Amino acid sequence: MRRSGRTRPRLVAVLGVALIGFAILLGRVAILQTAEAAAFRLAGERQRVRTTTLPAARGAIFDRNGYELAISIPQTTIWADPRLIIDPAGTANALAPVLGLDAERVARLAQRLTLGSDTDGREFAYVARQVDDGVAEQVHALRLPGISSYPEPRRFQPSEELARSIIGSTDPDGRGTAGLELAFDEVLTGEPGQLVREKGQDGRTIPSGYHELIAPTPGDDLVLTLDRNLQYVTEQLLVTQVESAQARGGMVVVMEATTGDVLAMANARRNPDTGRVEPSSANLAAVDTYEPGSVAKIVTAAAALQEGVANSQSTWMIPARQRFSDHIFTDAEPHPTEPMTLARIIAKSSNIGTMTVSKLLGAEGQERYLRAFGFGSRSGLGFPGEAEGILEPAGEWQGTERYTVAYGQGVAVTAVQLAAAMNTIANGGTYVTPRLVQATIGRDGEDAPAPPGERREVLSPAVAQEMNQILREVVCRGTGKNARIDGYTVAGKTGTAYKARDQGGYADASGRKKYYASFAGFVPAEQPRLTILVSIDEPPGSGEHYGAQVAAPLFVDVAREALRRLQVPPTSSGDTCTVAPDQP
Amino acid sequence: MVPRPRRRTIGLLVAALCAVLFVGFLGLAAVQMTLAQNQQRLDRLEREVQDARDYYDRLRLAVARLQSPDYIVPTATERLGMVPATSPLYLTPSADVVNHVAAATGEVVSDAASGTGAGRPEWGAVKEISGRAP
Repeated sequence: MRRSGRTRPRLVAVLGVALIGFAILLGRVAILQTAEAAAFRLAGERQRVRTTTLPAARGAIFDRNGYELAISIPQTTIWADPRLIIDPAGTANALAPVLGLDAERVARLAQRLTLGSDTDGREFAYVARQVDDGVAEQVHALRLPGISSYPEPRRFQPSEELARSIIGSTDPDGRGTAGLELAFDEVLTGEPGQLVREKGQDGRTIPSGYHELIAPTPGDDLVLTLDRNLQYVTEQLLVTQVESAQARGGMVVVMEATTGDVLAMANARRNPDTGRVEPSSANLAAVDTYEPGSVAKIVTAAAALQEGVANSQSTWMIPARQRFSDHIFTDAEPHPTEPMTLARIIAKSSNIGTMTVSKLLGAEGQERYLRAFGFGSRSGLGFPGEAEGILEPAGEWQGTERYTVAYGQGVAVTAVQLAAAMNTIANGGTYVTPRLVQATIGRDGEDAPAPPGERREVLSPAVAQEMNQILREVVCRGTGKNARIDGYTVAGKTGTAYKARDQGGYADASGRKKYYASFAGFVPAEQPRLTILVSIDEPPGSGEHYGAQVAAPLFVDVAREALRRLQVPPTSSGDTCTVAPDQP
Repeated sequence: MVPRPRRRTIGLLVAALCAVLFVGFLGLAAVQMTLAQNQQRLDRLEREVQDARDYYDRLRLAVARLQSPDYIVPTATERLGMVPATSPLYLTPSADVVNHVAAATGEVVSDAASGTGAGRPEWGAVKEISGRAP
């Protein structure tokens, strides 16, 4: 009885303790289910729910025939979690032969792999970005702790150096950094997507778990106006010509006359370190300016015809030397004082004759036409860093500049501007904005044509036709004889311009000058299909440095290739100049 | 005291319930297993789709490289000894001949001409499909 009397309080005590324990448990459960529920739910989701970013494919760049000029291909990026790496130096050494790292880069990698290092060794450190499959497999085979990988697209240009100055480049993150890759970065870049799903500890998707997919939107593709094969041939011909002319560099622009579509745009420069001529990484034809020289005489002559102050047979007595303002000018070729028609002034590229005609226009008239032909403002090509050129208002022309602009000195243009100016005559007097992009291809695979280049009438069709005839004479009987092509009628103009020095003026201390030698023309002249500009930078100062000598032959080579590529049949057999009437 | 027949009935009911529960759980396990298997299959198919896309992209690059003039021209000139045609001969067929050929073969399209888009004949359809997520 005594024992049972003591048992009861014990049972009550146990019950009390159990009740208190149960109450605590209940309270804790209540707290877990209410106040802390959200935090625990979140922690659980963090363990199960995996969010994967689905990268959007960057749009490809095609040439006009649909051949890839730039595409993004998945590669493998190797990364490290320094928290899991016990031996950073050993890991870096193991990776070195696979990744081809030298001692210095191995040391830098080891530093990155060290947790808490000053560089970026936290939870994530790049080991190697966008390596090919072979390298990725070798790295995986090493089974190094803390080393992982993920797919990442890399930009490739299948034709290597071809049109690199135009296409441009991207950084490792796929953002455009130069050229059309930069100019059309927003168009080419897509919208990344997201895949959210629940995964178990083994990494497998939990069946019927949470699943959400936001599909990535691929970037639009660009279809360029360039013809890949013509671009290749043009680049090769340009490099060969610059090399053989022992020049510093050169540019070629090939345009479709009616549309302003740029079919090829080649840039070459001599590498000062190796001495070899290579395709330039900069699109000099759009960003570099130079004085066009006599090619710009076409503007003066066309303006005179359009304003009605002269016709192609208007005649002046032209000496070989004449004072304008405070300077005595001379023609490149010595000749007696002789009567010259406007056609002959252009055919013989007489500076004195051109300045004489320019006086009839006045400075304002000259400036108005230079601007109408596209000088002094961006061509509308839309290329990043495209230059405006230099064309001061007529009121600010100093001294002899008033006269020299008439023959292309004292005004600076890009090769694209000069080609577009010549194309205005080829195109019946209508200026058409050059363009590089023909269309975009949306995510639905449909082509969206780019807007055509802006057009404006600069010359009447009759004046353009008159200029067409004058420029044919340049090739048949003038300075441009080297631009003749059997079977095709060529119209064009030579130009040999002094190259301005960075320090000002044209001649160095010893009186030596540097030149830009050019030829701009179109073919077939009867029904122009192609307008081509060739400019050679710094041909040797002595000997062959004229546009007729170093630029016109390249014009012929490029034109032949382009005509063949566009399947333009010849207009006659043999020399087309033999049937044209001779001009005085 | 429950009568013997009633106790027997209850026993049968309990046994039947247990059997139903057993079969139900077995069924649930089977469904769960099928779900897991299908999910694995789905994951595997997604991986295969992605691998196929990557493979397509790599082949696309390989084809583009093989088609590039950088590859073709040296191969043609140096390895095969070919030379570019310098003077192509242009033939001017009569309208009757052109019409006859066009009627027999459909549209006459030349791969050599510029601006034909011959390099990407099916790209539009491929892009529309490849743009979709798995």
